[in-house]
Amino acid sequence: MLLKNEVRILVPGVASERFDFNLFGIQAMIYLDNAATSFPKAPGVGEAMARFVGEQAANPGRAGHYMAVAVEKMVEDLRFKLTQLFGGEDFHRLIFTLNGTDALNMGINGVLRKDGSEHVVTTALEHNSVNRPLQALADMKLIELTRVDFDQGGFIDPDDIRVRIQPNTKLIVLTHASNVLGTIQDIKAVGAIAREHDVLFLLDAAQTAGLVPISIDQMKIDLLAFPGHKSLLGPTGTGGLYVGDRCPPLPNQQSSLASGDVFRAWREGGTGGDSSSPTQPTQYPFYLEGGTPNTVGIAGLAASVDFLASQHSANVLRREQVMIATIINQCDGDKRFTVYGSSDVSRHVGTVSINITGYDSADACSILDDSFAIAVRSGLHCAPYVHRRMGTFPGGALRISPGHFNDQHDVEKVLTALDEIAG
Amino acid sequence: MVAPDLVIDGKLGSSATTLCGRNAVQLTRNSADGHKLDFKDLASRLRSHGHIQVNKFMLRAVIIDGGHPYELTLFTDGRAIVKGTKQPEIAKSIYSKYVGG
Repeated sequence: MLLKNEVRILVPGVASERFDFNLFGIQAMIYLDNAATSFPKAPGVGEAMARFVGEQAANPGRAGHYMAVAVEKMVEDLRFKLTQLFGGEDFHRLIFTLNGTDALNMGINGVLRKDGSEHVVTTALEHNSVNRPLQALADMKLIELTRVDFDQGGFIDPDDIRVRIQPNTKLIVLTHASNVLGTIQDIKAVGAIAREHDVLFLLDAAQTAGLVPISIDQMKIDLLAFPGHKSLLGPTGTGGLYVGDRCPPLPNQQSSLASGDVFRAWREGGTGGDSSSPTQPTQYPFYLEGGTPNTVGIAGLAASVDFLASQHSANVLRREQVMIATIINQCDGDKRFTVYGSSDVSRHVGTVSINITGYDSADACSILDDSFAIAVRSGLHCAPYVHRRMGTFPGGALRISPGHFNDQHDVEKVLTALDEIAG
Repeated sequence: MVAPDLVIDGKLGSSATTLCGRNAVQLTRNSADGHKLDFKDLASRLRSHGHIQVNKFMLRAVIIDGGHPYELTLFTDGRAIVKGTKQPEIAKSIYSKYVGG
């Protein structure tokens, strides 16, 4: 068992470095699409992955030879560090997944009985990685679903969740920060409400893991889903789900058809141990980690987590908030632009969405790419309910999301470009 | 010399992406020749097919083709967004017909 706060992953330290990129021969691309995936990755990620493939790429847990044991140690070390980072109690409950979507699907499908008896509360701020699996279950009448709205600033009122809880409510699913508006939600309040009503709480930390402090224990999070490739600065194909102790694995194979508060295995298969058992071993993490893990990706993620350990996360978040504030301050109130969501950047990650009057968001996005070599994201951002609520459906908006390695210079460039496009 | 069992030498000349949540397709030319579209020339050709808007960043043409309205937005590097369809094949045919291969 890991003792809480035994070791601090995030330590005060080094200011961010600035990198010059050469992407497929394109010089000086300004990348402001970090809400989709971070770029560049942390220093050392590519090298760690190449080194792993070249020197160490055995299958963990499948053999006792030196290489397999070394890989298993690497995987377990990272499992431990990520559990520390998120304030979890037991690192065996940190499950490696393919990405945040995989983790969310694992969480949703793991805890719900899907027999029509249970109710789920979610919100209009969610990404389709939450919307779609829940809506599909609701359409098949396998769950009852309530979607709570957000205010004009982009915030969920925790009391709006509280009043929608029913006697049969099993699960609350909420994003930590909107991937469109960047607004950070009051997780601690929602976690307390969930615990008070004996409801499970699944947090989607897609936009916050590695950037905004998360404490599974203090925030009363039962399930934490996160990608490795966004603010954790790791490679795509990585992510994880922390499964709290209110989500026990099935006690034995006979229980797989029984109802009850257990976590159902998502993918079953080889785990390297207890091969004689006809069904999945019921110990975490093996219970949920059937199949060979993405060890190459995990090697990269391990390097990025080590890099983050040398950074001061509060400074990184503040720097992103200052960049967003510069954009909001310049565009808000200018009739050529519409800025969506709250202007209170103290409750923002580094994401803001705008539109330019007279331009479709896709056209504006292409102009920024084509004429200014600036990468942003247009459209609905896989969050249609957010855009419906903000009045930007179906055209969407232009999402600008600076990240760990951007600075004010990049923000000034995008503001100059926006000014020129808007005319 | 033994011939390889697998022949994997395909290369796409262009790519088409249906835009997120939109009735639109983005076409991207995969050439790295740096060739820029001549908006002036294109505008004069497209004017006879519909309403044209042009500035230094893009050319937008609203075209009726087969009774169906399409909005074709062209950018200087040759990429295009064809609104009015989610079908890449239709978008490509509109592009080929009005802009060229």
